[in-house]
Amino acid sequence: MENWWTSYRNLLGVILGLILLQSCDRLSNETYAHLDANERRKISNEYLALAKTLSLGSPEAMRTLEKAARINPKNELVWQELSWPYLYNGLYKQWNEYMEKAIEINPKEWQGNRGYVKLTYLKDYGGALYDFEAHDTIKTDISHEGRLYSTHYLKGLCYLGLKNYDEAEKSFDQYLITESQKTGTYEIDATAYVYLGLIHIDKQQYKKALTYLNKGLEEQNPLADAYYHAAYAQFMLGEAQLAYEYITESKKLFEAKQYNKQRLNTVLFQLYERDLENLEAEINCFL
Amino acid sequence: MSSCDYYLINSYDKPIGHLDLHKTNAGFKTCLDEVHLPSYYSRKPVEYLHGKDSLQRYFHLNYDNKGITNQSGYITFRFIINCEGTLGNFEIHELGIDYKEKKFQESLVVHLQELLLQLNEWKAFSRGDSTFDSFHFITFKIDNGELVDILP
Repeated sequence: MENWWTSYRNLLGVILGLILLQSCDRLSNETYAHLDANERRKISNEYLALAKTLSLGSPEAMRTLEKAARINPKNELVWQELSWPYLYNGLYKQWNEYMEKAIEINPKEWQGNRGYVKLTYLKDYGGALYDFEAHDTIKTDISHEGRLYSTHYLKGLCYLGLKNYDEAEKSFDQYLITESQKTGTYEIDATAYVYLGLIHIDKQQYKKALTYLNKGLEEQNPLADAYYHAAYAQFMLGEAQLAYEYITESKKLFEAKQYNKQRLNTVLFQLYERDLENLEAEINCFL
Repeated sequence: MSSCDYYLINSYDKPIGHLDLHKTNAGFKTCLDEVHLPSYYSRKPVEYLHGKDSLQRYFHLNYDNKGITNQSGYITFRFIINCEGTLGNFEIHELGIDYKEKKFQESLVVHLQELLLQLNEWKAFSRGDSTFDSFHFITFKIDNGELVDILP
């Protein structure tokens, strides 16, 4: 019995030794025990800043970020920075794992952010709504890549994606009210009017749809989408000539790339050239 | 000794998302074996030549849930688009709606891969007048067996 145990122990030692030898080049003997919390924070942020100057997802950037995380595991910015290359490469499991670490440390800052990514990159409307509901008990705006987004607006998009048009309408209306009170109308996202127009088109309330769409066209940067959906609404009201004028404007803006789009993802009710051509052809039949 | 910390670190030999060439990938060749660029670095999108709407239309028209109505999640195909715009060298990731690994029924995954392989015209990664190999991906969002979205 004793001999068996001794042999087993020796074999285990050999196996562990082999594993360690294999991992030698990945074994680091850095030590941060002598640093206090402030020093760890400072040095970790310095490595984070360095990593941001390197190519996203490159081996150098990832190693630098991991070093920043080892120095200060509570640096939530590092975890979320580690997540981005996985997201951009469709490696959602690893993206989520890193984001969860950031949220664990600072849910107020990152849960809404994760909701934004779920909404825009993953079209996970239910998952995004869950994050926004958790978020806006504390804040009403979410920051992503330097821009602020209203949770009312983002929840409107979620409800739209879930085809809950009544709740979507309430959220977008709340967004318009809140933004108008805060900063005046010029900063309102024109797509809110487009989506409200679409909700009413779906309910076959074409005149109400036009109220919103035309309001959107008064904004600083009118979108081809607003003209396109207004053309459709006019067409459904029997106004073929007006519809033709709107679709002509829509095509001009579309060619000038002034339509609702994102660089890496499609948006809800993404407008394509084929949509404009098809509607124009239908309108022409009635002119 | 007691003040030493030991960490097993990731070596990160290659950029995140890099795809090694598979030996079983008969007929597919990259233009440069060593350099595959991530598609999101290109200013002109690396995408299907006939546009996203054509891609979505193609999959929605040809998709068949193979009788599966109880599986939901994300099936991601990562692949290389070579400098000539043909694709190959697949890597497949299957996730549930909680973003954890999940196994879909093989017939569904094979069906989607076959549909993808039939598409041969892609816009290669370009910088200036030159085209390069790049790694790219498509994710199919499945909801109770139905194809509901194609990302990105």
